[in-house]
Amino acid sequence: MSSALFVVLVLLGLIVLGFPISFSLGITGLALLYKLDMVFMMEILPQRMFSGINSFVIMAMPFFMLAGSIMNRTGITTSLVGLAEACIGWVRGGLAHVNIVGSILFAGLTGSAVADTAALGSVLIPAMKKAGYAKEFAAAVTAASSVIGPIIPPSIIMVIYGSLMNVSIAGLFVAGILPGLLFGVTLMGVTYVVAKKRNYPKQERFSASELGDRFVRSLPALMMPIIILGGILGGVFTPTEAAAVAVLYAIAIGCLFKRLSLEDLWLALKETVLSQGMILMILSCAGILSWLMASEKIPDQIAAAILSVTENRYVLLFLINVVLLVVGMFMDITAALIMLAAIMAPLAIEAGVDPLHFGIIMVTNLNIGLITPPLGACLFVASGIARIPLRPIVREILPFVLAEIAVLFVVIYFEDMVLFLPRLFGYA
Amino acid sequence: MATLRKSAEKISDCLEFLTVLLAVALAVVMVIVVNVNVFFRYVLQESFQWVEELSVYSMIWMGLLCASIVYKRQEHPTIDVFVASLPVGWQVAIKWLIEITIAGFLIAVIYHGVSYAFESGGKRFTNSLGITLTLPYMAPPVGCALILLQQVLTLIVRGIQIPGRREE
Repeated sequence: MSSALFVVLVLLGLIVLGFPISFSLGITGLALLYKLDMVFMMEILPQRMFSGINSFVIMAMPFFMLAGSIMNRTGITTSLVGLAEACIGWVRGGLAHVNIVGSILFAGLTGSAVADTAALGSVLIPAMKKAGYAKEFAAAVTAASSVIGPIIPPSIIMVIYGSLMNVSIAGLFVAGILPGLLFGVTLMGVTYVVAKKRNYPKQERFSASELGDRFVRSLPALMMPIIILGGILGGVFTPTEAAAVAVLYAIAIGCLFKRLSLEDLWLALKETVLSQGMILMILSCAGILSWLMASEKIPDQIAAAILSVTENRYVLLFLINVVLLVVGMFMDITAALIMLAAIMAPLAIEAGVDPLHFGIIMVTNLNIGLITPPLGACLFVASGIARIPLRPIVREILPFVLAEIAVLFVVIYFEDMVLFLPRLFGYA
Repeated sequence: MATLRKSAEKISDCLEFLTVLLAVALAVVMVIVVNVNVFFRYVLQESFQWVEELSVYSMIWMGLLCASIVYKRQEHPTIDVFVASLPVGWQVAIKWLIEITIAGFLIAVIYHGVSYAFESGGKRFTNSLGITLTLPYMAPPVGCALILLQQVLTLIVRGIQIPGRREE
């Protein structure tokens, strides 16, 4: 059996049996050592676990997570919701639109969709219920719009993709902006149609002075993405440094408005280190397997096998995306990204896809997996907040999922749209 | 048996608390040194070489230490929809297979990790901190040893956990 087939079968077997993804990767590496008669090189295991995460670039991930978590605890989310309400609440289905615009604004603070669902959901789902929206719909809108979080910078999975694939994280960040906004606009379109049909309420119109007032109140939150993106694009600091500065900024805001207790800070730190325990373990174990695979040229073998079926870039991208959508339904997003990027990115680049463009495709695609059953992290969180079972939410979220898949295909086949901003800033 | 279970639980919780404490301390170190470096570079026109090493090694230790708590809480991402549809007896057998295989993997990393840290790491120095690489290289074996410990303690406390039963 070829090494490539061996790896695919063992890895798939372990995952289907219910091994955690991290250990599946490590144990497959161990099995490959035996198969290749390289048992005398067992030191590869600890050595590669170490070097798999020995990276300054990857440190942007814990920092962004911590900054988002602290920002959340300062209650700054409410001010963003207030601003969104003043901007768009007067349209039919106002609060649902507020939810989406809130997600776009919130996306500049956090790099994780689940954090977005939790933060906006806890404010807006009860409010929407009270205003007469079906709670299933409220939960669906919240979950569906939260996937914008990791597409608009900062983004935790973009940091992971960039550091694994040696793609500029600043470039990925810039490239995410337009697709993220496109997601927002499309979701608002779907919302408008549903709201019209069900005659959902509008909010009152706000006076210009009230709008200005709310804008000023959310300025501290709006400054954060400006510091992060402006700092990175202006060459003031690296993404990792920008993320560390964002942590400090979030703490400063919390102290300034007296909304951050020591306990909040401790909880934010604890939440961050635990989530890192999960992600860094996957990256660490993936270090073993990806090094062995690279030394055996396995990604090349897999790429050659698939390219022998089709070399057409568009067909290839279509097939890759179907696989990603299916995987995303069942697998945790970071785990899926770490596992599949090493194989799929070289394949796509070989077929002539821009590495930056492919990064955005993978991130966008796997994000949709967060709101598809049976395993969609954002769905679970939304159902928990709304206190309703999953099934009715799934029914309500279906039009949103279809709309997002449509946007995904725009992202896939309109390369110029994705690369417009990166080219402007000299990243592509 | 009940006393054994109780003391295992106590040890496990105590270990968890200390691990989190250490990891949080490392995270704080990371935030501080990276920010200090930015400050020094722009305000005092001077930057420190050791910042990158210190912060990255702290991150590696932080992540691998916390992996044990994530293991204890069974929160490492897993796909259990396929196994969950099997009869309970099968599920229990598969779960034992998983725990034993993982333990084997952990023991391999611990054994070879310690020798790697002292033999290869002991002879080499980091670029700017000026210490041997033993301390950074010990992160994978120590992290895995903690996972193994939490695994055994959890098995004593709760026995084998299958997907369907976890939600109760």
